[in-house]
Amino acid sequence: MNARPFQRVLIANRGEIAVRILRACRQRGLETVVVVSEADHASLAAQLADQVVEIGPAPAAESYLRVDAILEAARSTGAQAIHPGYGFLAENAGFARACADAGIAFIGPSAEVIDAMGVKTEARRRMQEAGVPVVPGALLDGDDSAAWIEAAKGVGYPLLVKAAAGGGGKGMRAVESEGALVDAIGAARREAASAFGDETVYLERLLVRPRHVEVQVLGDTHGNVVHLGERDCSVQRRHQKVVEESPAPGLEDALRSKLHDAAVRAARAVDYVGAGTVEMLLDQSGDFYFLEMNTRLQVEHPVTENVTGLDLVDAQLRVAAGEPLGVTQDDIVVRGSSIEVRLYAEDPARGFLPQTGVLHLFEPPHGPGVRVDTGVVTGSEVTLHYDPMVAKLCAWGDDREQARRRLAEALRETTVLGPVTNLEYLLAILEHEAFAAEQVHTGFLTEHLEGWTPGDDDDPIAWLAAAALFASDPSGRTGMSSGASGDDAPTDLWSELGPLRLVTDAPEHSAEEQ
Amino acid sequence: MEIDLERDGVRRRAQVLRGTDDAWTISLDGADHVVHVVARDENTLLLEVNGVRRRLRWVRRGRELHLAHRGHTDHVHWVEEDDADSASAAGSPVVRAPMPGKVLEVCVAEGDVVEAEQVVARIESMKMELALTASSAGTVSSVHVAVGDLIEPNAPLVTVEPTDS
Repeated sequence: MNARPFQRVLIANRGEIAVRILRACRQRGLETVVVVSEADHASLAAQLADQVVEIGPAPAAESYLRVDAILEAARSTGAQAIHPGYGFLAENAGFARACADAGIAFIGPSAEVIDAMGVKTEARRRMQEAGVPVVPGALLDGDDSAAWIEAAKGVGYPLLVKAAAGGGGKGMRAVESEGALVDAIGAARREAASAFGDETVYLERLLVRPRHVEVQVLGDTHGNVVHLGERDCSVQRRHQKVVEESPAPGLEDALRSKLHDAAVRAARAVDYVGAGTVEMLLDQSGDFYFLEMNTRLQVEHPVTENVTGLDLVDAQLRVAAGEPLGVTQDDIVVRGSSIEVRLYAEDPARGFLPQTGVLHLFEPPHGPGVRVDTGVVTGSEVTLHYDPMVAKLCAWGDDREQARRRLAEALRETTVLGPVTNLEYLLAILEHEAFAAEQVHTGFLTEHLEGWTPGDDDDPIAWLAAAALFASDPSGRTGMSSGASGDDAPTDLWSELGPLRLVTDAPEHSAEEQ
Repeated sequence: MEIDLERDGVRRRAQVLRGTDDAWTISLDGADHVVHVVARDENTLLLEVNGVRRRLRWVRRGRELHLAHRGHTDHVHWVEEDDADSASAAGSPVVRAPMPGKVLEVCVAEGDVVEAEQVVARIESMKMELALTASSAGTVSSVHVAVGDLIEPNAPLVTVEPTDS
């Protein structure tokens, strides 16, 4: 849209994605401005940025979602472009419009495209026009049950009855066959009427154990649109992606091509500019349906970068500056396989409750093919204000199996001490035989890992021994170090331990021993 | 010496015997285990337990040891005889944080003379403000925190040497 080159970019986001964008800007020689809430004033992104503007208190509604404050920050720092990252204002057409009005380049598609894709019915209509399959469905009007039955025949069974005004599962019924249809519609209408004051319901085909497959697209202001292959993000928990990979395993080439073509058609239909993702559901018969289009960078973009060798954020910056993509479809080759897991501060054994607190020790993994995207370091605090993501851990391999093994080993070499994380749960997924056998679908976690709890360590004696050694050795005179110190060890072991002095209790030990 | 260890809510008593050099014998649940401390640094403990090597990553918070080993993370807590009075009150010279939080105010400085029940620090925890008091009259011998510090449960805040000691 705004094709004016820019030299200074404001990053309207936080956490790992702010760092990711900041690096891409630096690599292009662009200056960076990061807006932060009070809680993030010393975040990694804030530490790295050329300029930092504090825009409000910790709650997102008072900071990262404040269009006026962000635009004011852009004005006061002279930023000529804004990268919204993902989440927050990334798919807010009003924000994109406000940027345009202020003469600032919004790094993303136009407000019109965001609007069109944000309204489900409008997106569905546009996709149908472009020849992209949508999940079969029908809006029901009137009380004629014979007409309902006829409409259901067109949709096909099994199907879902959904409240048009709905959400949260209210007014929703699954129907296996025609016999149960009329009762289900009646019940759904009553529920919808009491919950939303609108009894309108519609029917939608219920896909059984579908896969979530999405295609990355990239468009420029010169009319070029390419796809960067697909990702499988089927391993989800309550529509929250947990594991993502590219390419999607086990697809036949013909089906893969059909998915790619549909996505490119979808993007062309709206003259898409920038990085976008066309999400689709793939059923077991190989039929696929448009789910939605995300008009922004996705969390899981690194797996696509790993297999294509392209830098999506760099491409976004170039496109926003009005440059052509510089690659044609034929240039884009998918090589090997890449898998990503999202490491969260949450407790899988307790309903995935978000965990907060200081990361006393955070050590990301290293090694061939391993990529870590993170916005935290040892000493950072995970708060309740934002998504408790610690890092995205990715591995690339010659094939899926190598990527899987590399990622599993990378997880084993990752240390997070402080808040409980889902690290061991992620390992359980990667090492599950069904995952290794490429048997992924959206019901994977429910089917295989419901009620999961962390295993006992393989050697509890080591753990207890470690604690016993520390407990019996408050003074440090017992020679726990190897070599050097020996009898010359300081009398206070803890005083030599650098950062630990803040939080250990050496002084009180001497007091207690008196 | 004997130590009570708690992990996952299960308490076990371990007997720790120092052998020669860095070899220790730990008796747990009636079985003896030979633990050799190969090396350690501020976050690593390299142990050989019954001949098997283990590289543990650790941080210590008071009497709690957070440990990680190849994807598994857990913590072990140990109990000492004076535990009963160290955490909260009677007679302990150390005023500790009952909950995790942030130091809002340190009301005393080293050398200050305080009375029993005098407020020595305020912390904010779970959006509540808590005033922490000296358990007995005495002299402040050390202040362990500063305003703005984030603190763990049981973290020492201020040490007050009782007047009668």
